[in-house]
Amino acid sequence: MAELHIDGLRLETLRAGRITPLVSGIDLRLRQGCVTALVGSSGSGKSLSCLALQGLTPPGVRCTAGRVALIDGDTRRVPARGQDIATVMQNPRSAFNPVMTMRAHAQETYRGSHSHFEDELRRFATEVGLDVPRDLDLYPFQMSGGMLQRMMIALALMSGARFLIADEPTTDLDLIVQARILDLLVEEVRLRSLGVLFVTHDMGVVARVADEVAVMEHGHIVERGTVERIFHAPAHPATQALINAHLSLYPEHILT
Amino acid sequence: MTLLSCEHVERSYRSDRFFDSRPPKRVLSGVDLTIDEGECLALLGESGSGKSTLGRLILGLERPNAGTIRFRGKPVASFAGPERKSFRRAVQAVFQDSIGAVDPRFSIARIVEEPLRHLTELDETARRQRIVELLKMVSIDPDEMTKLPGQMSGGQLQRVCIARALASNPDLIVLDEAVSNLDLTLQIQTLDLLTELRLRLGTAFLFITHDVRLVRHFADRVAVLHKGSIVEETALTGRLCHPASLALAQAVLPAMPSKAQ
Amino acid sequence: MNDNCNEAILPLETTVHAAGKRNWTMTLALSILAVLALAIIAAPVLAPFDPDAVDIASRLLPPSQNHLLGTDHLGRDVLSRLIHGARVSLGAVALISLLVLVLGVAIGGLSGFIGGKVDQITMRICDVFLTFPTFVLAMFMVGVLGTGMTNVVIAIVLSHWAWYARIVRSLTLSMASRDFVLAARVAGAGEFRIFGEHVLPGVIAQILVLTTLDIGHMMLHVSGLSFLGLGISPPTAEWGVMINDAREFVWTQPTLIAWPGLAIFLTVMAFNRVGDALRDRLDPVLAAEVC
Repeated sequence: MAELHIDGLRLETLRAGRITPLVSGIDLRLRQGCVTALVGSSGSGKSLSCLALQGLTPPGVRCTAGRVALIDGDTRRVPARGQDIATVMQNPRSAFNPVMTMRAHAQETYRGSHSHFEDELRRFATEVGLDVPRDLDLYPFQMSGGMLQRMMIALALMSGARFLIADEPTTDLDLIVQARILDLLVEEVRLRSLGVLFVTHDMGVVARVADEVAVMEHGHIVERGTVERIFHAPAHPATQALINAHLSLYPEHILT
Repeated sequence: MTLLSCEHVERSYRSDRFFDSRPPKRVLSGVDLTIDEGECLALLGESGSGKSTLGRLILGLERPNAGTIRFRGKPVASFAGPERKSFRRAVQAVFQDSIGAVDPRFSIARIVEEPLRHLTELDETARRQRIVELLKMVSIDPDEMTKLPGQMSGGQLQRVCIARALASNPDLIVLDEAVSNLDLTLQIQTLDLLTELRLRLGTAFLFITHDVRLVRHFADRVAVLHKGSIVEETALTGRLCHPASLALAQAVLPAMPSKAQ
Repeated sequence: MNDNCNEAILPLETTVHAAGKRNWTMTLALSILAVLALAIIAAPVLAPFDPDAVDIASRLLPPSQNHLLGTDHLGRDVLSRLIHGARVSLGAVALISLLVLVLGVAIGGLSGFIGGKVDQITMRICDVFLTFPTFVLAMFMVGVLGTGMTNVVIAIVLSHWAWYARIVRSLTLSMASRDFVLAARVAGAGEFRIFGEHVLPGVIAQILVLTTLDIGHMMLHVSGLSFLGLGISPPTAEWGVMINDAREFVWTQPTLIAWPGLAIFLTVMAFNRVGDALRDRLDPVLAAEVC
């Protein structure tokens, strides 16, 4: 079973003329078949870390340290974006080119042999719940947010990547669509032994999908543990604040 | 006392193009709703149910194709001139995307001042005082009032939008998914702020949302909108029975991790 | 940790300092524009000779101390003609840009904001005007009304206003659908006030950038039409006319064609550079997106 190791990631930016650290030396371990949730309030550096570990940083942000390694048995190498790691992003609508159909998007990133393309595309599109072949010829504006998110997951699966970075993939979707997408993700993790880094601010999502949790605050990971331990015995004040805020919405749990 | 009522409201959209033979798209059909003074009604529905359209109709931004919307008994469509102004004074809104809901060229002070300029007779000094008062109400330092929206976070901007909505001392504020773009901790903080303001000022709220958890936390009564009609309406102490409501309730994320994985 | 392992140190991204590299082009552009402004304002003072003074004895002289850029086929000093020509060329361009801007913003802005059938009809009218290529329209106008700067200006404005109107319209549409316009309505602002306070400022900022970038384009049209003999006619000094005049003598005195050509080139590039900078600075939304 392969693992993805991220060590000592540091990001900084220039703010009002002074160098400001955004992420200060975080370490993460992703295992196949395991969903690790990266939680924290906005501004904690979660999304930036996701971008940085794939080698992408927004303009104005500089990565000053960090090592990413894919460890498979005895070998150790640099993971390739799109082959070893795939991404599912927050706003599916902005992730698609408005003048390309779904099929065209799949063709753009497909690396396998030409003759297998159509079969694989149909297989994955059906698996994520799209209407095949009708939906494959649609343009993004003809599809809802939920459908686009499903397509993004299908593209991620088609790449054959063993690791998935999901950056708040359900935040913009309504409750029912969100539940279905999360079910789909959990199922795919189980079927294909995917290793997932799931960034979110919603502890309800964490309770639904995560096995392990890492809590970020102001660019540091302040606590990590299994999902049960984090929920039942949060140690760091930041974690406690998140758990308490989350539980306040579930009146039946206040007395626990 | 009934503040606002919708009677058999219908709304369809048709395109403006000449020679367009497609039938108009019906978004709302036969919606009946009432909001009483000082109460908090949640309008629950999944995306595509027509909630935002109903919000815009209630705000008087669009006209229904059939049915009537009444404010304090009088039809909103008949308002003109001073009556329209007093309706606007009484019904305000906070929108979902705080960054999009403010003019990026206006300072915070000017944003909050806009309803004061158009809907009240206050002079400049009085307006300035009111702006300071409003910013303090939403826990924003009045010294920040010269800042531009680009210099503030989404959460802070949403509080500015709340201050703007409170400016004319409205009777009803429509919250159109007003907290959906904030992270969970901020969502709860914002709703708590609104509850506190409601107790202090007696404002009624129409809380449009798709998140059942927030409804339980914030509202007195809930109406469920599904495919353009109200399918269920109940006080929070009651239970939701309609299949559309149950679908929403079941989709709620769990409180605790389950061992099933 | 194994020394042979080829883990990646993540690549360093540049910070906002990248902007420093572009500053020299901006300085150059502003200098060129400053020189132009000087030429326009102080032409009679700066020009060493009368641009229309014919002196056949000194025709086609190469650059010398007396005539810094040489003389043309009629013995007129090239430098003086270049300086006076700036007035004519840029004056026409300024007038055209202003008219096209006003027409485009008024028609496109109102059409986009009012919407509905008014918008549909206006856009169909725009489509009609968009089908005219500038040169064809100019030749038609000249054929009907005669040559001269006025007709050149009218022709260029008529063929370009629709393009601007369309752009302004789509900018207006995207502005008008933003939530802050709805919020302004809820706050009690009237429609005209919303158009003037919220929609127009944003639209004008963006269209102004386009106008600046387009000045080079307009310049080429004015000079091009004059070159074809449809606009300014000789003996008036104008850069396009000068190029036309110099055509015959390109083997005898090649520098003659180079000077006005260089002037046009530098002016167009300078305006393009300034337009770029304006675009980067003027819209607070764009500026905020960088960091």
